[in-house]
Amino acid sequence: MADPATARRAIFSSYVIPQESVSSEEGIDKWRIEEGVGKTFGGKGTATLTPAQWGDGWTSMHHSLVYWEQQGDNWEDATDAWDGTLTVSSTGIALCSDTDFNSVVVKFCYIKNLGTAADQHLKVTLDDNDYDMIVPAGGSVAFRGDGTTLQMQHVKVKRAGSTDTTIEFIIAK
Amino acid sequence: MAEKIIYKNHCTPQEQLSFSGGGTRYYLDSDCGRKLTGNCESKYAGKTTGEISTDTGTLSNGGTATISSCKFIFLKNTDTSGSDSFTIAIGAMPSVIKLSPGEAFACDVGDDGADTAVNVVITGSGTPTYEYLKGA
Repeated sequence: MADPATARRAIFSSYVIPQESVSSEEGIDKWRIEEGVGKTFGGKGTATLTPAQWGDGWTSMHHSLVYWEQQGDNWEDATDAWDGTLTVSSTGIALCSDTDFNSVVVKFCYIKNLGTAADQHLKVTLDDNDYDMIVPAGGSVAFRGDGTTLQMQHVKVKRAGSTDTTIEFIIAK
Repeated sequence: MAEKIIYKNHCTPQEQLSFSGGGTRYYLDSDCGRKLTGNCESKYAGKTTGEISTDTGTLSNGGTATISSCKFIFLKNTDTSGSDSFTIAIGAMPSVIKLSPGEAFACDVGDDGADTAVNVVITGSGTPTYEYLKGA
C-alpha cells in the first residue's frame, strides 16, 4: 500500500428532485417541482474512516502505486478491477475481496452503477441474503454502516436486469 | 399527469497528510483519485399522480417508525442536537444504515425477487427528528 494517510474521511451527500409534468395550452409538456411536495430535498455528512484501510482493494479505482499483495486472498482473480471498474453479473459478488476482513465492520460504502441501459440496474444486499436496494443505471448509493452489525461479508451486489453492468465502489472500514 | 423522482448521490473521499514542519491538510484521496457522483431517475412504480409523498416525525430512544410500501426512499436526519441518530432497515434487511444529524440517504428499493414495494423501518438512538420522501 502507498504511504498511509494520517486520517481519512468521506464527505457524502444526497439531492432529490420530485417532479411532475404539466401541459400548457399550447400542448407543450414541461416538468416542474411536484406540487404536493413543493420542494427539493438534500442532506450531507462526513464519515470518518480508518487511515490504514483493509487493503488496496478498498476502492475499485486504485492508487498508482498499488501493491498486488494488497489485493486480497485471490489477487490473481481480481484483475477485473484493475481498470477501476468491477463487472457485475447475476451472481452476487462481495465488494471486499479479502475474506480475512469478513467480520470487519463497514464504516462507509459508495457504489456507482456505470451501466447505461435500462436493463442494467443493480441490486445490493446488506445481509448477504436480501437484495432489497436497487441502483438504476447511472445512479449510485452512499451509506454509513451502523458500526456494529454491518460487516464486509454482508455487502454484495448483483445485476437485476438481463445485461451485465460495471460499478465503481468504495468499501471502507 | 406524470411524475418522476430524479436523485443524485455524491461522495468526496479525502485523506489527511502531515507536513514535516507541522500541521495537516485534507486532500482528495489518492487511492480513489476522483470524486464520485451518480445521477439517475428513480425506477419507482407507475409514476402517476399521488405516488410521491413526504412527512416528518420524531423518534423516541429505541422507538421505531415504519414507512410502508416504498419503491423509492429519501430519508434525512433533521435533528439539530448534534448527536441523535437513527438506523434504517430496508425490506428484509437488518437495520444497519446509520444517519447522524444532517445526513441523508436516497435509494430505489424493492423486494429481492420481483422488485415489489417494501417497508422501510427506522429506529431511533436518542430522540432524532426525521424527514422522508417516498415513491410508492
